[in-house]
Amino acid sequence: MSTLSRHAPLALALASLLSSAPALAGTVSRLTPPSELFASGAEAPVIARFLPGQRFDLQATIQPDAGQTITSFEFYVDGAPTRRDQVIPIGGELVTIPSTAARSTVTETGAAATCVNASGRTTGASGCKLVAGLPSNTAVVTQRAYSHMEPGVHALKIVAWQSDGSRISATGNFEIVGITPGGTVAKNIIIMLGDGMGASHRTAARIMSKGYAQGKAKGRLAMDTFPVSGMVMTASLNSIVTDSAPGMQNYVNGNKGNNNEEGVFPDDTRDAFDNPRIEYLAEYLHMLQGKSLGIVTTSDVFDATPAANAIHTSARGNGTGIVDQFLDDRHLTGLTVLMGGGRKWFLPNAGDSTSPQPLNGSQRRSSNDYVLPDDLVAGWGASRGAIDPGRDLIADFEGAGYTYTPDRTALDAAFATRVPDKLLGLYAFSNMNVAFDKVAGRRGNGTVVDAYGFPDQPMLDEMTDKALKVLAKNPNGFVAMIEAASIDKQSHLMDSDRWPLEVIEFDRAIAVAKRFAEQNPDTIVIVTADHECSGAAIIGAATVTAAALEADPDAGQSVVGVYEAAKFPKYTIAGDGYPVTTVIDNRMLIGYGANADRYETWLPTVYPTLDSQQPFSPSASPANPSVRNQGAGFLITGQVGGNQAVHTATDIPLSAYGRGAAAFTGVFDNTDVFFKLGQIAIGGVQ
Amino acid sequence: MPRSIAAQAFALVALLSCGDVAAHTHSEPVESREAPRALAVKKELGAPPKDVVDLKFRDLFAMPVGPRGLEPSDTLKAAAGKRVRMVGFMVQQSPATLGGFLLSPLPVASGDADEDLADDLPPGLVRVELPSHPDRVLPHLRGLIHVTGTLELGAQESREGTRISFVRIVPDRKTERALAKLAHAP
Ligand SMILES: [Zn+2]
Repeated sequence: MSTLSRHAPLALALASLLSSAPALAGTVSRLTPPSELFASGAEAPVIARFLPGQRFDLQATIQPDAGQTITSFEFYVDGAPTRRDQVIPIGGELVTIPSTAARSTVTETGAAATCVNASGRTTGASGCKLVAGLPSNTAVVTQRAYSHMEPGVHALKIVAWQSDGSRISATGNFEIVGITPGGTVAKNIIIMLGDGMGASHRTAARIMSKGYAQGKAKGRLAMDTFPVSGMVMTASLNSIVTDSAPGMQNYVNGNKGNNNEEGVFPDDTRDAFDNPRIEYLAEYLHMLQGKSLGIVTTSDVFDATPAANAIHTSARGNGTGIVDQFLDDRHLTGLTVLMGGGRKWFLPNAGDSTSPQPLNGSQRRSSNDYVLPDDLVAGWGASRGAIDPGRDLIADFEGAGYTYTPDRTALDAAFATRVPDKLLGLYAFSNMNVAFDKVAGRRGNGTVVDAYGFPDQPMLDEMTDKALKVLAKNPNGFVAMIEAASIDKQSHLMDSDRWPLEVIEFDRAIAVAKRFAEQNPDTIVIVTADHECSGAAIIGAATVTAAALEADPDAGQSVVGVYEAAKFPKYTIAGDGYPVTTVIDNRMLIGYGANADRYETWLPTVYPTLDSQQPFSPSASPANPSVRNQGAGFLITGQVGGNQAVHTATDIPLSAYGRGAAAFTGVFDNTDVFFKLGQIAIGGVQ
Repeated sequence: MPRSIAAQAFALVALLSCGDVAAHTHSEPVESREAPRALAVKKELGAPPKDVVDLKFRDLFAMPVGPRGLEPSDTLKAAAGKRVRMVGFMVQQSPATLGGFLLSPLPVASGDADEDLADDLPPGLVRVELPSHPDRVLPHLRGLIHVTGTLELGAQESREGTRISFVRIVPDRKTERALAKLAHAP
């Protein structure tokens, strides 16, 4: 019996009502791009939005009637078939992709014994194609790299034909956000991303680095001097509280993502690299205008925020595939600068074993590498990829013209005679050390950076300066994403000495970006965050001296001065721009609204808390905040489980400087930032 | 030394109680027990036996880290073929590997191929062999342990053919006997 179901929930509800029905009717259980129209039947809100010509994949998961299979399918937009040959630039040439090449139908073709259970449902087991719980005849149908030029809301309809000739269909929608032409464009886009940085983080850095007197700040952070600020809503596609992957991607592709996913919409196949893609800002502007992309971070470069500017995967942990794709798809993204930590992903591992690793410490593994399906390769002109744990990725970057710099000395040397054309910097095995410990190292106390094995790491402002010099060589402009990653990581750890220095380091990088924009007025700089982390709050200041805190680490609430008892903590700033020490008399005190249990001494630990991704965490590092200072500090019980503070749904501040900055005022959604940047870069500012 | 052991013990407490590590581990619980007296490190160890050198994890690699990755230290290269004593934690592997285990500077757990997508094990792990029981497995031993034996350097495939080790210790008779008592069929 044929079924014409408008959308899946209705069909499911119908099926459950008619419990005597002979078989579950065929349905479309997912239609991508996601829409409220498909999910609930409501016309608004429109979920998926794109810029004119921005590419995205169309996909549907179709559960046929019992005994039927899907024999063909067609996506219609506003009633017209979407199938058409595409002309896309590949390697500098325009190549025509026939419409058939960019389409696929994925069904459960894995071994039936392991992939389908007794009740005829997919198991989602290793080696199978589909996720668990679907009827075994389910088909995931895809049309790659679609785009539309006409502004407005468009109806998307999938029609699939079953083997008996009957049809299944469903309807959703998406919106093309128009660009007003005729203005003066910004050639360069600099996104300064303070991971986890909420309003409190900014305030704490200002109190520490500038000081207050008689109710007034004695100086301003560089980000405070940006003329326009707004408030950003940060929810992800599947939660009010986002993680860092969708938290970043919505700024640079205009769409909400699921947690853990980068540059893709969710799907029903197991392959983490075949998800429906959404073109990133860098890819879109590289295609349209030939811009370069620069990614600079203090984290491992495979981490969620840097990856969610150039990589398309539904599993943010797939380190080997992620770093490979940075290089392999540079013709799509324009990747010109990649700087941060994560050297371990770039080292050859011929034996493909990471437990234990080879002697060079490589973390490359075939299990988290990638190979793309034919339709994706054809539709997007993407590199197919390969399962190659033995790849020497540093050598491949060098072969592609990137200058590799393993430390600050090498970074300076690379610029001694000329500015390199392309730059790769890998300054740690995993995440870089934090400013608190890097600054101590530069001042002669290398206890921490030496233990980690990386005594000569650059600071973020130095990396930013070098990155912008390289990127500025492209007359077509660039997109740069510069991330202070450990504001978030140290906030998770509730380390009230280490994250404020991360914000100060970040602000010094912002000052570099601002200087660039002053010298190059065709530049827009935004300072923002992907989300707030930890619910940090400046609760006041200690009523006692640093010595008294050290003498009584269990003092707890008895030394917390609130309101007028907090006065104005006075830090002394050294010539390097960082506090001489954070352990001052009457120091600023931080509380956490999203905290797990912790023992609080109101003092820093010598070693940073164990970073599970950092291979050389010294054994003296506390394992986590729930055991750090155990037996010494004052127990503060948390509202969240686990042993770390969590992200919060609180709006975050965004500040803008340069051409088009005025657009960033008011309260707006994180995805709106993408469309504002698109207007500024393509349509320009009136 | 006692100071860092205390810190490691703290880390161990954390391992056993925290969700972070659980996230990397497996659905099926791994068999785990206290280390037997012959292997456990409860206090500072005395001087090693004659002809045995104490080898510390932090001495395995040249520091700082090289631009092309880690490089074995002169100390490690010189120790090849010699008798050494190492102190560390048994890696909680799921499933347990045949005929030996991994020794780590930090208490860590490792799931099977599908699940440890990212990076949960530190580099520089040492494989401790159990040549008398190549087809048996060991339960996970909690806490710091010490192992004395002959150091081997060079790639060698595991019995399952899925893993390659680079630094191995073939235990002395005393260590081997203590481990053999715990070995059982997989
Ligand atoms: Zn976070």
